[in-house]
Amino acid sequence: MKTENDELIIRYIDGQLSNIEKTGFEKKLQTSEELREKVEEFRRVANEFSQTEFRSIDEDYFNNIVPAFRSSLEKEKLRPVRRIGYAIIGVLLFISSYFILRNYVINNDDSQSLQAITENLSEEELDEIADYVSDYSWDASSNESIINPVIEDDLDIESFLSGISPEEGYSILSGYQINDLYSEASEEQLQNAYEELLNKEIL
Amino acid sequence: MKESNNDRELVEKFVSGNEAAFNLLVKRYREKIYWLARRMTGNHLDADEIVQQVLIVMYKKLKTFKFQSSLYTWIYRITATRSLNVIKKNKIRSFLSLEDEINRIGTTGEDIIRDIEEKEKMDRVNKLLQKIPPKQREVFVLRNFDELSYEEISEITGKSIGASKANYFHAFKKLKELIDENRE
Repeated sequence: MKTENDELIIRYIDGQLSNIEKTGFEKKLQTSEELREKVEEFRRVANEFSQTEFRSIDEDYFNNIVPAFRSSLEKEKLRPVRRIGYAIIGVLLFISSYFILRNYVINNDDSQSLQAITENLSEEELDEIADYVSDYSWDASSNESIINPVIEDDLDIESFLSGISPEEGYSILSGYQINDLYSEASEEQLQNAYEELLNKEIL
Repeated sequence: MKESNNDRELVEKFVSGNEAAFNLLVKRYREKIYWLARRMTGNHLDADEIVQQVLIVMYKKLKTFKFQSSLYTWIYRITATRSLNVIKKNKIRSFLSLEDEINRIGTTGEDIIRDIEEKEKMDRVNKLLQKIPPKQREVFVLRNFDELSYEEISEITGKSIGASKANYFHAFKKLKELIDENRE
């Protein structure tokens, strides 16, 4: 009953009640002080999250957006080789993480294995890797994957992964089978693995 | 929200090589992009990063934009997707480097809001928004702050109108609970 009321109140404030529902609800409002108080409570919440006109904003920030964009556009053009390198590391790290998570053996040793790989990377490198891994999800503005250009073959990654032990997975971390792995996985297969990784609670 | 009359004209000018037309488009939409990203991620640095990403996507993809949807819903869609990606990226990044994501966000002191009272309110609101799931947050922000219709939200998120309404309801209810908890 309480949830039903909440839903009705939210839809009322949100302007989503039909005319009949609205008339009925407003009739109840006239006779119930409790309901009126409740509606006011919800209204206060809605107001807390409404559009705000800021009195004092650093306008320079908005004025500098275009120059900053032009400058980053230039940088983008200058670093294609490095980008592919990070894309490969990104794929490798997320597949490595997949192995750790897939086997549900997240303990200190596993965390340390991953930490050992990432501790020598700079902040900027970690950012770039995370960028590529996160960019690997669907993007409404682009159907292209940054990883796509480096993965050309198509292999059943499910059977590839299921035939591999955690230890073998860790050997991938140390770099022995990197080339085999990323050349053997299709974009769709990596996407599935990535989605599974993202669905894990730790992420 | 209504599409600005000369969006199409500016896009056509840009596509035919007029770079200044792109600058005008940015000027028109930069604040909407920034505040959506800011409310989604909860901090200025990530919002700033998203603004730049969105502009790069716009710059590269406008040439293929056919006005099958409004320009502003397209820009919102890119911004929302990029925001969700940055949220994911932060989670992945904190996982890779084993650092606390909340701490990372909490340490970013840079801001464009100068008034202390306004900044406090923004921080308070953002802190609450960060406690609801990103997909619910996306709908709630688009509805409450940007005042978009459910049809527009559905176009931006790629979810049905019914699903968007359900997300809004859950977000609203959760935020109310959080506010009530804070009062107690």
